[in-house]
Amino acid sequence: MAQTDLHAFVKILQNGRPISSITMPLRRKKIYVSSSIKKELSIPFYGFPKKNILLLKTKKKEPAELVLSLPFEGLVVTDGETTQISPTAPLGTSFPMKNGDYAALHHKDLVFLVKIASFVKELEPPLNPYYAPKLWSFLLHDKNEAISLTVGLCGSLFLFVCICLGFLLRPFDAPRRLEQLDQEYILPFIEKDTFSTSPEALKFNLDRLNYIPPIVKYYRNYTHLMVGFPLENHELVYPSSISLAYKKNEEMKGKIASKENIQRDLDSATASSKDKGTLSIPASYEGSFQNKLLEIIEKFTQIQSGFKKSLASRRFVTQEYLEDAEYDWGNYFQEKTVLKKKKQMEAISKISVFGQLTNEEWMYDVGEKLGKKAEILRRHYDMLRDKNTWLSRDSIVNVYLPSSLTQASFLNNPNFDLLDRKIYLITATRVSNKK
Amino acid sequence: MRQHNSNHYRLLAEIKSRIGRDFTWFPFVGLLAFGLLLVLTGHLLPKLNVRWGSPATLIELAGPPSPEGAIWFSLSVRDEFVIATTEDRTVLHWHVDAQTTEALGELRNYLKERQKSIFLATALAKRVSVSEPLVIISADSSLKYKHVRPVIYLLAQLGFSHYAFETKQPLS
Repeated sequence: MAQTDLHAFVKILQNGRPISSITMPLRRKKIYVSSSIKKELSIPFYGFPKKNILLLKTKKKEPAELVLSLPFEGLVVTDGETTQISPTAPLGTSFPMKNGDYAALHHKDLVFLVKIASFVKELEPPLNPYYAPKLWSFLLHDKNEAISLTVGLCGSLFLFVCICLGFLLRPFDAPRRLEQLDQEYILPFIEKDTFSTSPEALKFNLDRLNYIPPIVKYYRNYTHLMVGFPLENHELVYPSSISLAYKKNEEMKGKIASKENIQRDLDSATASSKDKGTLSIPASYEGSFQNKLLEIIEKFTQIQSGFKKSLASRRFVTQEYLEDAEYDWGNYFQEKTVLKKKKQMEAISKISVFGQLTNEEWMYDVGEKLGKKAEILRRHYDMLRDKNTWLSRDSIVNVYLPSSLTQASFLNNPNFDLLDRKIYLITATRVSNKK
Repeated sequence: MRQHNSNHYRLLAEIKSRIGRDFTWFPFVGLLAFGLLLVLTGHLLPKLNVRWGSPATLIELAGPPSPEGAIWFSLSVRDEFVIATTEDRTVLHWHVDAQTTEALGELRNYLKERQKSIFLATALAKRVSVSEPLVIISADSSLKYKHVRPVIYLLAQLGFSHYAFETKQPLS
């Protein structure tokens, strides 16, 4: 049981049944009995002489004051003295109410019970900890368990740190590039001729143990060469191809620069003129992305066709090739010094007891087989995916702009602030009526 | 009359007291659910659809569905910066008052890398889908022309001739 500050307790009963009550700490306030529902002590629609009847005046550090505003009958107990109240007592009589004082007053069928006392708050009994243990007590019951748990925790932490470090320090072997993926994932996305012509394309770089990665690298580097991106593996590309591509790129850059200069001069002339303006059109200088993709497809089709013809020529037309030593594991051409030593061995190696293929035959056979497998997977993949149209020359339209165009600017890296100046001028002429 | 100190009364009082208390461990169950929700929303759902968690609020306008395989990124503005969020959740940004496309270096590098992979895939397969060279911009409805203009010029510089703005299909 805990006692708090002094409170005023007021309860109203009608025919012995409680109908309204209030409990409040003593502070500067007046307590009214009212027939309105807005007051604390309200008896709605009861026939009082006035709407609000003053019952009690409370102050913070002084005794409360009980006011007889109605013809009451009953008793008031103050300081242990009982005062009988009769209905004839003058209205407005007041009684000081201190701690422990109380009053019981009747008016018609109402009983007013008033008391000044400390508010007693019932404390909740402490709960048996067996039913509501502390938050972490389910882990630790006694000292021995705490020691065991601490030791176990340290051991677990050590193991966890070791595992984390192991993961952090391990070599990153997840595939990051296309060629690092397993064969089954790449095959559907490679055309069959790419495999069958790979020995001709790769030559020294062919790796029969790891057939696909050199092919991907070769096509990546040739593509980069065609579109002007930096090469990653120079050894996969012919030096003549590199020099030709660089020469072509330089020529193209020169042409673009001269046309850009012409356009810049025209733009600056237009900018200085008050009456003229040009439209700025975002344009591509070296052809669109789609054009480049189509060029790549066409170029590689040509290249692969050349490889096939070259192979056919080498096999059936040029007698010298037939006299050459055959392809050995990992070598496309062999050095002359090695050739002599190997000639005798080659003669023996050509004896095929079970009809097995020679190294050179294997080289092309692997490519052919991979190509066929890729084609089957590709067809299966095409059946699974949505019907999609493939890019062709018919599906794109190119619009070419002459370099001396004065009505529009094709500069694709303009200063936007300069472009907007003409628009601001147009706005000004529309606002002003004089111009 | 039953004695108040009897075992039966004591047990009854204890049970009443116990079940009258709040259960203080329930937040842990909630935290577990919250953690799972974080993992789901942060990792799994964006993988299923790149539009999950995109900062751009799109305009509602009926249109054909987006083709598969196109390059997608969202554009929105925050604190004087234009934010581009790519399909792989890379966040690129530049100032709203960028006067040339040089300021969009991060987006340029990203698009070049995408071009490289499309070039290689095309070279190996010797075919390319119509949708692959397409760029879909999921632009926030609060964007102005000056925010989008540098992106359009950058796309032209890189050779992208086909780009589209994504809209949200209105509920009928």
